[in-house]
Amino acid sequence: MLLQARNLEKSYTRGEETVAALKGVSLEIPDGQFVSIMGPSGSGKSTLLHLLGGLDRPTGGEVILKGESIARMSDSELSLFRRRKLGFIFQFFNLLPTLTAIENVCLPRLLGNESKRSIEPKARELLSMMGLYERMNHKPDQLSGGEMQRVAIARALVSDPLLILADEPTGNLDTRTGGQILSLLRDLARDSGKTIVMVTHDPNAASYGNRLIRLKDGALESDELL
Amino acid sequence: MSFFNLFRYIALRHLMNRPSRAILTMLGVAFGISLYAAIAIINHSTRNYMKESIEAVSGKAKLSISAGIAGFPEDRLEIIRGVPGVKTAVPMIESRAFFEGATESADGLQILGVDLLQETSVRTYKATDQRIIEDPLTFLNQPDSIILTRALAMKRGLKLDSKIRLSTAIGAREFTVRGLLEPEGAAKAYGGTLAIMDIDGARVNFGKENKLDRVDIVPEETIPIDTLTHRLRDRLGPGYSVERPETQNAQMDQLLDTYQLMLTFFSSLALLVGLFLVMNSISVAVAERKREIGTLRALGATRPMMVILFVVEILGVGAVGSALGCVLGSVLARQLSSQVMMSVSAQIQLRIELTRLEFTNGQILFTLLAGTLCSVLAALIPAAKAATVSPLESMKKHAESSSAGDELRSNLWIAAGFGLLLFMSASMILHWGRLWIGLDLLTKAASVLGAALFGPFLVFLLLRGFLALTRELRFPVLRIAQENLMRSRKRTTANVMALMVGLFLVMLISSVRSSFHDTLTLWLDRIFVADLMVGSNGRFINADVQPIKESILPELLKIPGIRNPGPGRGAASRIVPFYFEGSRMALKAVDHYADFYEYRNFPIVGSDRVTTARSLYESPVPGLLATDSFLRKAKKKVGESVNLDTPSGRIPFKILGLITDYASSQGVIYLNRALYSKYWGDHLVTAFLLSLEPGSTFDQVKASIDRGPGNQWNLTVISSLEFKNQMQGAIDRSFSYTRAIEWIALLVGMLGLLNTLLISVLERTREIGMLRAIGGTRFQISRMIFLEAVLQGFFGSIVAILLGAYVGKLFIEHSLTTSLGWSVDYHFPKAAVLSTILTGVAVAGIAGFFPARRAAGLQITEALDYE
Repeated sequence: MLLQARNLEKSYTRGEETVAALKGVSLEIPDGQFVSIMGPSGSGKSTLLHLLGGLDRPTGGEVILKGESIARMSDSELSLFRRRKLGFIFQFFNLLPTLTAIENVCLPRLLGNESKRSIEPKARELLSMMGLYERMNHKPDQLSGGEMQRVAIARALVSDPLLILADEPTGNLDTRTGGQILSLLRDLARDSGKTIVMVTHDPNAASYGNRLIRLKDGALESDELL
Repeated sequence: MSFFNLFRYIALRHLMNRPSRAILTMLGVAFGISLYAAIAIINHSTRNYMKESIEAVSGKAKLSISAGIAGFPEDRLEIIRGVPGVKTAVPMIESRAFFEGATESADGLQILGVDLLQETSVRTYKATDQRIIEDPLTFLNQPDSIILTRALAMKRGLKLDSKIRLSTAIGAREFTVRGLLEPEGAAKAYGGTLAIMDIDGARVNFGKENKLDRVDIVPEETIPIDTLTHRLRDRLGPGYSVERPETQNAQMDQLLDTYQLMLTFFSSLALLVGLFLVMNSISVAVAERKREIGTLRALGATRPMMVILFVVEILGVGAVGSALGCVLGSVLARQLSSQVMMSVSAQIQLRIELTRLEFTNGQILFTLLAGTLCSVLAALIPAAKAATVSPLESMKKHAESSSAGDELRSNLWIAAGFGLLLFMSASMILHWGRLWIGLDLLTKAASVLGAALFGPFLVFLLLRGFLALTRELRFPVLRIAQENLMRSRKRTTANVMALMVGLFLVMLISSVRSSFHDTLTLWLDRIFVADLMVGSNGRFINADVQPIKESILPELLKIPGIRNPGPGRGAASRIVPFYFEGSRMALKAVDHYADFYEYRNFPIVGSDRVTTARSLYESPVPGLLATDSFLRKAKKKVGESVNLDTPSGRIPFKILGLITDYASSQGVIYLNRALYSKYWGDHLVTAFLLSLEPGSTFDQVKASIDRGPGNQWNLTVISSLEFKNQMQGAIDRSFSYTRAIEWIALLVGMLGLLNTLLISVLERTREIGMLRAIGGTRFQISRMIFLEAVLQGFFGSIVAILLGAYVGKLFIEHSLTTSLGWSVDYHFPKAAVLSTILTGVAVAGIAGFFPARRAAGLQITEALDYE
């Protein structure tokens, strides 16, 4: 099993009130699955993604990736874990405006102290795969929304991660471009065996995955294969 | 990520992407460093000047003997030569001289009266025509001969055989330039502003008949220097100084220490303001790039990487800024050196004229490193904040502007600022700085930091009050501007802090300057009672004049319109430096002249003015009046006796009273001139202080003097008003270098404000778009941003005035006495209040102009879409 979440809990304090965002969620995700997580606003889907990606720490329970629990990792260990084993795709792309497309793709491995020259062949290959070979030296403000998100996907793939986490990856794109991005993610899971966990509120987007998990009020409402 | 990758792909890209912001920060560092570098250059060059002068004049001598400015009897030379262990003893006459008509110290030069037949055993000279040195008889046979340094000759446009007229103790005399010295050996002394004369000619011309000023000793090779020093001291007795050149160096260094420390402190303040700019700039960069930091963290960057990212970003800016600061510092040093030297010369009672400014490689390296390191240190706090940014920030569209945590942190900073001000107050009042110099420096740093951290809180209080007062006004833009300032506490704090630190320094320096100015002016009114002053050429106000013969007085008293002081009384004063317990002080020997104490408010402290001053002349035992700093040094009280070493031996003087005098911060004593002449053997006069007969005018009397004795003795006559005006001008000039600190502090403050205002407009782009969308005009938007800047400038100035005046008062009343030795009364700088407010508003207005234009120029749709 690639990813296991055991009885995950997360609560926040807002003023004097304690809000439970996640109330004991457990799930298992095998290799190569494209999992869509859906739920209304406030259902805890984003919180679950944050916990799975080690961006936040759970109040209770644990997350295990390839047999390794991330609960007891120090902040630096968590950073290394994210850098080496995870790929992130954000709703707002989060490309560094000062870097070119290819440099943005190289970024996670540049953080790992590799030289740009050693990363470039892989980054070029990924950008070609995304249909952006001609645009690799453009900066984000010279790219369209769809192109920026494809650069972000290439960036998520550059470290060859075990798991890709996507937070509303089409939330900031038009329907046609969004469809292209989702197809790309589906192909990655289907053809390259990548494991993807995607949070979305859009049923159409969720339908691109091969498994759908619904959350409601911080708890698992349903879990079905598509 | 390696240091290199962080620098190349993130830091450098940001710097290149927003060069204007990097340039603003870099200029802040450069201006801050420039003043620090300038003062370092001047301080180093001053010490070098002293060292070179001492070593050049000492030459091969291992010991030098002197007895103060009055010199000592010529017959001591044979006694010295008779001391076992003395191989060679070479005499010298040293005197200041002035080109005829000079009224400024810069027109003076140092005369070395030497016996060329003996000189070569101690000092070396390299002249254009070496025969003048090698065959001194040529020189001796022509008594009007003088040798100048090539540098001095060039400066005054002189050549070989040129005639020059110098004022001497016996009037103006003509000399012929017989040789020019290359800058080697003794010619390197006094920055090359010197001339060589025959010793006998110097004696006659400078009133030193049968006297010597200095004897340089080359000892036998076998004798230890310490043994010879003791032998000479025993043989000559008290009143004679027998010192090695290196001891003289150490004494000079000690003399300069306090003053240079104060200069360094003031220049460090400018650097501190520059560092605030760095801190501010990095703080806003962190706030602005929160989502980017979150993204990097999500992609696997560790917390230390985030600190390194901002540190490497500022490293480049700090290094380039420091390098630019070194260049600006060299230029600034040239502009400031004469003003600083005037101030230093007055402080240590020793004329210094820097002819060469030196910025050594070591100093350049140190300044570069210090500037870069300080920039990095200033960036550490905001960089550490970047490390705390959660990777979750990457998931948000807009960074949160503030949180409860921010509020708490902000309150903690205010409390820390208040704590620092409390510490500073306690430390100054209880004189903790006397315990350890480090504590003194910490106290001064705490004053600036405390004001910077606590000041914005006071600005908020004032803004709140202003908001309540103007609530009913129909001026919506003003209201929105005020509310914006109140709402965005963090942003307003950053803006106000940037400007306020600059203004605070302006007010602090103004407090120091006005306290000195007013205290000295009031003192001058009390101490200077004569209607006119008659002396030779030179600079009257710091007694740097050519002394003259006392026998001139009877001729002056024959001039119609000058009041005769009466039998047994005189009008002469002699002001000379003298050493007491290793400190260079001022000795004022004055004739018995009733006007000093009978008719004016003579500054005797703690006892009856007339009785105490009269006792100076009527006491059955030798007596003196002394300043508080002298008494502290001597560890004596009024009524006790203190031993003074004179060329006639050690003489006990009774301390008759306490007097206020600012001629030297180390200490001043007043003696009856008759006693001074007797024990020091000095009958020369610095100036005659004369009063007018009723009905006569200064102009008439001056004209009569100029036609009579003035012409014969090369006299200068000035009125008391002229003297006071000159003195006021000198006080202002000696503080003029502090203007440079103010300008730099203000400039850096303005850059800081411009930086933060520009960023605040960027941060508020969507808000501005929204205001425009609901009907706000471009003019209203620009007015709103401009008003915000001006309000911050206005209230920042008010708080800077309050805090600057408070810290200035404590500094003047408690710290300055400790460090400088002068007791100065605090005088609130009234004139600075309006100018500080106007400057604050103007600086804020200029800084607000560009952001206001930018805000008004925003397109509504783009602004609403701005992330």
